[in-house]
Amino acid sequence: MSRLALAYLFRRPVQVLAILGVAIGLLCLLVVSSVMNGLIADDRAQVRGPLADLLLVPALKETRPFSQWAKTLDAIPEVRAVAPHLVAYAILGLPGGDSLYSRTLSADLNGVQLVGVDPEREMQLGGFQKSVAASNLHPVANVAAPFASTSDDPFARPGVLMPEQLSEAFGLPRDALLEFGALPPRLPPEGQPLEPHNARFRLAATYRPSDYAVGMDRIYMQRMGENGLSWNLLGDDNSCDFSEILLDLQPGVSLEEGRKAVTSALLTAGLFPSGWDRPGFAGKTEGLGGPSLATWEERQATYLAAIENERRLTNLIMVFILIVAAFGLFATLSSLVREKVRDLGVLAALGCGPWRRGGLLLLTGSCGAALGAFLGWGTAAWLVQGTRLESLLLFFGIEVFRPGLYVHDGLPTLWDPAQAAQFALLAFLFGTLFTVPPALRALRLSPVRALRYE
Amino acid sequence: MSEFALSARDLVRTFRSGKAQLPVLRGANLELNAGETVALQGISGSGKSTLLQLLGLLEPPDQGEIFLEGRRVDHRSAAQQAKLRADNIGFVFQQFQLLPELSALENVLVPRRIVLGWSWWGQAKAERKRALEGLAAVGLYDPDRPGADRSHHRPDQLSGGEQQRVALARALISKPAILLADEPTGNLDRSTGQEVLKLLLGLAAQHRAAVLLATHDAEVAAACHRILVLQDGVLKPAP
Repeated sequence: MSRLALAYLFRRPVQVLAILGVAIGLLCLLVVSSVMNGLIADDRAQVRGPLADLLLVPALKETRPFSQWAKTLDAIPEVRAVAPHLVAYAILGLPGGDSLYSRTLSADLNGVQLVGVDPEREMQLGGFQKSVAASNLHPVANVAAPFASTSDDPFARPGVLMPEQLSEAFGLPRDALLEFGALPPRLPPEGQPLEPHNARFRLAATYRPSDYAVGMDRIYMQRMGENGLSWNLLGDDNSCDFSEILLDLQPGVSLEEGRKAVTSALLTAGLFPSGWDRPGFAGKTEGLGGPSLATWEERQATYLAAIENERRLTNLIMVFILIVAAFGLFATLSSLVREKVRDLGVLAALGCGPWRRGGLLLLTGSCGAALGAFLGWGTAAWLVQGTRLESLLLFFGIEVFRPGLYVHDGLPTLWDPAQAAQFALLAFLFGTLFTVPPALRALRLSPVRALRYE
Repeated sequence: MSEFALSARDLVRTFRSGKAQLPVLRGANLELNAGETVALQGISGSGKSTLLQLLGLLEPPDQGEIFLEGRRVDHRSAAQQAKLRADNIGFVFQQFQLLPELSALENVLVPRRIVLGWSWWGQAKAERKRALEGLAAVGLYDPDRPGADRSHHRPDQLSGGEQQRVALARALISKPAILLADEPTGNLDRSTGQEVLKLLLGLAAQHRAAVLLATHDAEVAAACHRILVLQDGVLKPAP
């Protein structure tokens, strides 16, 4: 019967087209899924940006200096690197030139985030090191001292690292003077005025932010000391000398294991309030003023959930395309049953029972579905390797991600064999499922009517 | 009940279309011995084909009983009747009814594939040999004369007579106890028809198959042991 099923399958070109329909449907689904997988993998790397594995934000009223926290954190075996950030928001101006403050087009560039870092510690974090190394505009001359001046001027202003895009937008050369006006990190006591500070800095070098818009207005400078953010801009307001601490874990340590180890160490050292690790502890959330310890994924949970949702939606749409493609098998096999009524009658006369007649049609359809699924799977597996897909799109003049506009280098694809196998199986099942109604028709066919059929 | 190869008692079959009723069989009785050839005659529309279809278990009678080698078979399920057909009954049709996608050899093998099911795969070689012997018996295969080999030809590459020979080889490959032939020479010219009839009767005798052969042709009918006439829905011996 398998011989007859195959003969029926290739009897008419339209059936071959139905098989190709399943193949193309699956090909689309797998290619789009692979691109989505690639984009998500890329996005996960990009969205992590300068974030480390864990992000520790102290309580709102924290006054203990970073050095005290570092003693405990540096001693945790699961932790590979610890780096403090002192964050402030400022307005950027260019001394001696147009202030640009009132320009509509560039207004969004004037508000910047100043991040004070300890270079030796910051360089141990993968994200920062990569961003610094990737810059081509004004590369960092000395990685050990990224804010140091390249000139011999003994009175040079403190250096900062600026994103390439921002530096390009202002057309700033290396060592260009920048003026920042910042408010103190905390509100002054009742009755006292809120006094902004301003100071001049110098563009020491540029870095290439690995994340999107978040990275566009982030400016790094020394955290402490005479050249630091605290000394030059924030004033002495007895506030904490850090806003957050970034922690990178040892290779092989999961985010949850790392968080547990850090929590336990901080509780033991009294740096976290007692009971912080209990579920529902009131002072746990940042919003309530308590300290928080989050993984980078939790920090970017909304974004990650959004792109994951995008993938699910895309796959859902593609599955519908697959269903439509599989419907082609139903249409062609239904017409095959009509065409082959007489043959089915002959088979009945030769002793082929109803179930076997139905089985013959089911076998025909499932062979078609299997062939379509195999073709689609194989073509997709070949197409998503290397730059084949991108080359194909470029051949048709389609450039998906323009370099310079997007952070992606080319069209990312990531082939997930398990996922591909699942989708191929789904295509086969849909194709076979759509064969059931014609098979039932063949099963119910009256042999006598079938033999009389003209 | 004595064990005839095939027997039928009081077969009734009425076709209905809306309120109109057309009684075709009104109590037909038949007894067919092993190795016996019986011609079935009657005017067009008398119900010859309907009787063959009932006896071939392709549809159930409205009333009456059918016995195959003494066992009552008319009330069995469709699947059981299909199995009985595959094991015991061979069909030869006026229109040959070969499967156009398959070669002559594959057409002959279809009943064996149906009978053997999954065990076909263990016996494919032997069955193929058996089918070639069947084709050789009807003159469509001769290992010593490659030019005479039609085993790999598809039906559309064969003449009407050759197609009916293939159909005959197909009907007899499972060595059925009963061969039902509905106007087997009706679509062939006189001389080809005679050749096919000679083959049919010769091979049936060789297999000791009981043959019921519906025909309009008096010469064909005369070649059989007995002639029955279907008239007014009942079977009568020819005068």
